[in-house]
Amino acid sequence: MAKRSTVRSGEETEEVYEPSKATQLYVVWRKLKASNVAVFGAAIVLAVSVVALLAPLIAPYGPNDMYITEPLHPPFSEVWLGTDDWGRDIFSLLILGARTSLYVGIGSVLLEAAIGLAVGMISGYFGGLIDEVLMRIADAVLTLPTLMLMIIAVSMFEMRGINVIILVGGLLGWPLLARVVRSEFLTLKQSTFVEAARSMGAGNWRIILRHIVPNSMASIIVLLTMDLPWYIFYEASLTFLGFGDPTAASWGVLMEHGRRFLNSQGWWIAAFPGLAILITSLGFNLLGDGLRDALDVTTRAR
Amino acid sequence: MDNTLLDIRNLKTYFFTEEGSVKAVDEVSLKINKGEVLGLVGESGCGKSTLSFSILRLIRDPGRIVGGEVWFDGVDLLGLSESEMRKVRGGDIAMIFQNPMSSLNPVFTVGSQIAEAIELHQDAKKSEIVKKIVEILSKVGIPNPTERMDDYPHEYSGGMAQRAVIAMALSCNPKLLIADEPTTNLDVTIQAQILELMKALRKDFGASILLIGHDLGVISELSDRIAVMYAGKLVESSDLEGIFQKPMHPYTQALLESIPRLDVKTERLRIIPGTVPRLIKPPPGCRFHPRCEHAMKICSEQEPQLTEVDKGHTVACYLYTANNKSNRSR
Repeated sequence: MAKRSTVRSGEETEEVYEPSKATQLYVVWRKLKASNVAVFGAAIVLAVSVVALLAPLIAPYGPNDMYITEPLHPPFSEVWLGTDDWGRDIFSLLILGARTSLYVGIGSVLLEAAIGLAVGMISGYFGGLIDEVLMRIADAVLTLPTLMLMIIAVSMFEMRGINVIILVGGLLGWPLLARVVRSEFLTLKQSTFVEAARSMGAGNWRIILRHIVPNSMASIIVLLTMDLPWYIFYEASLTFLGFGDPTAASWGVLMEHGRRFLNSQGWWIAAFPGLAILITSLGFNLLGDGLRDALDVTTRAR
Repeated sequence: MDNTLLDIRNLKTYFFTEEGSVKAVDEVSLKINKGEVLGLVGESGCGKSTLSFSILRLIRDPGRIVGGEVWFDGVDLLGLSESEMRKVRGGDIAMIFQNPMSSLNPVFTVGSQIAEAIELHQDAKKSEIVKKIVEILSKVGIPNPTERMDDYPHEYSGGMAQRAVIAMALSCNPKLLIADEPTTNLDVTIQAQILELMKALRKDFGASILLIGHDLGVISELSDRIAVMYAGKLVESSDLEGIFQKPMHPYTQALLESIPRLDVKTERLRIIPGTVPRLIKPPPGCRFHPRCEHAMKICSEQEPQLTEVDKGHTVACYLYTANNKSNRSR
């Protein structure tokens, strides 16, 4: 069988059991590779991540290098993506902004995942009064207007930093995830294989972590990768509305800056960061979809 | 020496619903000897599965065991702590379920699931576990076990999946195997294979088996003794001979007559009129009396108790208890 051949061919019985985990990862990887869409998504995510990590090294100019050309130099000339009204290089600003956007997106999603998973698990698995209480809290949180609270928080704490955005985003973003996880748990805890695991002497934690969570991974991953771009949007919207840190390099700041030139001769200032956000969120969504399919053991790698 | 492995005494498991309490298992007493196969027969909804879940204390809300004792190998299981009980589950008592495909976790290989069962109850090195898995899979008749253990459940057929489930249950050498309708969801030919397998394994492992089912024909293939349940009550229990040659309870008689037979020519199979009563409000007296053709006055007034009528043959029916003669004459 294919999945065994490369990994195991030379090894002995000692390895026969161990690789079932290693091969699982390997199978997921192979399936991911087999899907063009997933590879495309992964490539975008990887590219954006590398750019974000190495931003200062890649960017040809710094964020404050002004008048490298005359102001509002159009794109697709000797300056790739043009310059803004201060003669700053848009391409460099995009690269530097990737760091902020990705930081906000990943940070918020991690916070959302931590709260949402915990709440959903407890609610779905234990049920009863605690479920009732947690779900009502989730309902209440769901009604809160995220953007407005972000504006309030940013103004209140006077730390125009992106950490406030992450904090508010994560603290308000978990209810949907919690509900999805809860409903997965509600269905799965009734399933025969969970009953069977219990009859074999498995305790609550083992049942949750080994039997229920792996079976709900697909929906969790899809939801999280779909939420990640939203946090990037929030950061961009906030700065676009003028509540971000105007000195930070971010796609939102750049868009806000370009807003003033949209009707005159400077469309590229706002358009390119917009495009960057679009491509990044597309990348995460595609990767999420691909991961979901790759994690589904009932489909085989080609 | 006492030969009893499992001794259930007056077990009561009720489900507390909004409409009222459902007495799914009501004062059932049952004994299984070491090495014995007891067949528990009854219609769906009569409480046989609830009884088996009660033994392992796996009753879910809103259900609760409200009374009785479950003595297993000299220990009252109902008195154990949850962590002690976990050692019993899968270790001393293992269970196999009706639908083999859904009793296996779809995202893990069959081998890793058997490994999990072994790891839960035994300290063994990985290499030993692998050896054990291969050994047990070949014992239950999985061809090519070294290869097939790395397959996922969906790559198994229904019959193979049930073999794997049996392998998992037997992996820790349980003293008691509870098999809840193990062949119901399988094709007839596969059913026969699984029954053959269980017969063979019975000799191999020497475990007692509580075989639960609704089909007397299938159950009798394997059982030494048969217990018949109706509407949460045990109505008759005897060895195979007794049940087939001399069925006493009218319900048992009706069940037997509803099995198609090759040696007796009948136009139509017997149908038991009516349905199993709702257990929220069971009929007073004998629960079978509304469907019973021999029902007498006392049947709707008092509940018949299980009485030993023949040696090793107990029945709960006024047709056989001493005071029924006076009733009849009245």
